[in-house]
Order: sequence, then C-alpha cells, then structure tokens
Amino acid sequence: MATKPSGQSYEYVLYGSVSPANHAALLHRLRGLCTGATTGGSTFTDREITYKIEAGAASSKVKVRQSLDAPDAPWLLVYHGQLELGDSSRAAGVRTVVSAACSHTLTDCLSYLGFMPIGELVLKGQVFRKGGVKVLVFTMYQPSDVTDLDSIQPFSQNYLVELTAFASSSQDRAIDELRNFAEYLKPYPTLPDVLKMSNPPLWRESECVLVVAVTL
Amino acid sequence: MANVIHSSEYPRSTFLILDNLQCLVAENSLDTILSHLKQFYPPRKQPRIEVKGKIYLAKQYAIKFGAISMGSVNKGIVVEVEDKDQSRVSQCWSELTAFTKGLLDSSQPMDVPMFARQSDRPYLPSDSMSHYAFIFEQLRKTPSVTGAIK
Repeated sequence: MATKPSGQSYEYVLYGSVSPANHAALLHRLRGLCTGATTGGSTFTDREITYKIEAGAASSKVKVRQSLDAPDAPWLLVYHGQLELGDSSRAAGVRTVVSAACSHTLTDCLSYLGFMPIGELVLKGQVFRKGGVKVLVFTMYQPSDVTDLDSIQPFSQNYLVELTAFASSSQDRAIDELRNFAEYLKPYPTLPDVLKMSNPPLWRESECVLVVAVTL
Repeated sequence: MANVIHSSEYPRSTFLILDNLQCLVAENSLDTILSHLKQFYPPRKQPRIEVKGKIYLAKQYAIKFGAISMGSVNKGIVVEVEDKDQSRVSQCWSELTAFTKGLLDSSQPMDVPMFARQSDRPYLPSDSMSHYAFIFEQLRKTPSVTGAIK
C-alpha cells in the first residue's frame, strides 16, 4: 500500500452485490485469481461503528473498526473523504482515506471529544488479495442489542462485494489494476449503472453505508 | 480539552490525553485525522510545550533531565527516573523514591499521581505521557512551578 508519510492515501473503490445463488461461484473464481488461494481466502468478522461530529452546519464522520476474531488487536480509526464519482474518464470512485491503529480507549475518547455514535454494523465474510487489489465479500448485520453480538440480523440475503485499491495520488495506475480485476469477476457481482443518476442510491444512510457501483 | 503528545522514545506513536487523563495511543496517522477534524474545535491558543534533554543510565535506572519550554520561554526542568527492570509501581516505588531523593538531594515529599497507584497493572508508556500532560497543565496554570516526575 503506497502511503504518504502523513498516513493519507487515495482509495479507489468499487461496490457490487451478489445473490446467494452466485456466491459460491464468485468465491470459486476469487480463489483461482487471488494469492493465498490454497487457504481459500481468510475470513473476517468485524464490528464497525460510525461516529459523527457536528459544528453548526458542518459535520464529519469517522469509523471505528474492531476485529471480533482478534479481540486484542488494535482498533482502527478510519477517516474517509468524500467519494468522488461522476468522472466518466475514471472507472471507479476515489476518496482520500486515513487510518490509524489505536488503543482500546478509542470509543471513550471519541465520545469525550464530542463524537456521537450513529450506526453500528457487524461485517462477516472473506477477504482476498491480488497485487494491490483487496476484495471483500461479506454480509452486513445489524446487532439488535449492542451488548449481545449473537443477536445479529443480516440486512439482506445478498452479499456485498467491495474492491479497493490504494494509491499515492489520485492519478495512479492502481485504477487500471482494479478495473482489470473487476473484469475477471463478471458477471457475478451486479454493477448497476449509477453514473447517469443525479443522486447515487443510498443503502440505509442510518447505517452509514453508501453502496454505489460504477459500470466498467 | 485534550493534549496531543509525541515522544522521541516512541517515534511512531501519537498520544492523545484528555482532561480526565485518559490516554489514547495511536499511530502517527492520527495526526492527519485530527487535522481533518480541526474545524470542529476552537484553535489552540497557547504555544506548544517542548521538553528536551539528555538521558543518563545508572544500573537499572534511566534518568532524564529535560528543559521545558513553552514557545520560546523556559518554564523549568523535568526530571524523570525510570526503573527499567520493574513493570509494576508497587514493586519498585520505595527504591525509586529513595534513589530520586538521593539524586536530587531533595527533602520534599514525592507526590504520587493518582493513576499510578490505582491498581497493580503493568506500567505503560501512556502512564508517563498522562503524567507529562498533568505537569504541562500545571505549568500552564502556574508558570513558576517546576515539576519533578518519577
């Protein structure tokens, strides 16, 4: 991952969804394409809490990512910039991203600093890597009781597919790598054309997940 | 509201200490995240505080003499004595205070910060940084105070 010394980098991102009927075929294809294929991709279970801070009309969000598989691992604080879409010369959305591994006092500190939690998700799925491209195939769950993570309900039966590639600048070859990789996955992830829409569809903004996909 | 402290002993970490002395330890990229969020907080009014000095080693003790400067104004000296062999305050407190009193030839009592005595958990770098933040806050309020930390 190419990053500037400040820790900030650009992230190209593509989203899609795949139905349960095609899920196995997609995983089979990913195992063939990606590194670490013999292990079948590694699974992950993450809890993601979105925090918001407001000052007048301005607001900003950060996300706290906690691994439920490795409770002692540092928690990740992630800041995303605005996702830039609509540029027809570019095949994926791009946004700035800064992430920092933190100690487990993170949520208390954010609350003290004036951040309000506005959504919580549990993400369960598999992660694959190929060169600079990371593929996540996962299901999102909403915990009905935040203290009881066994009581989680999936949002839908479909799986979300997220392809990301990091770059040191917004004009980087990483986008070609991402686009070429996404070509290999066709036709399984559904990628509706949203460039022609005036407002990209928001999938439950209360959970703070923006699901947008770009046709290739 | 909160202090951000960097230390040359932990070059890849940033320590964020709140007013209640709770400490967040993070990678240096936390500074970049905070710079994106600075529009939500009032701008800093007071200049940065820096502590610079040398480290001396004597047996298992590491002694740091640091000159504190706030902007370009000298505020005093901080002496930090660390017992490198022990990880719990209760195990080494009496020897540490005796050594420090002998070093500084001081008869004044050593104040124990509340968070160092609360439990028998291992002493962490964030405890040192919280202690520095506590001293810096005291310096901001009463400029003539010189602090010694153990």
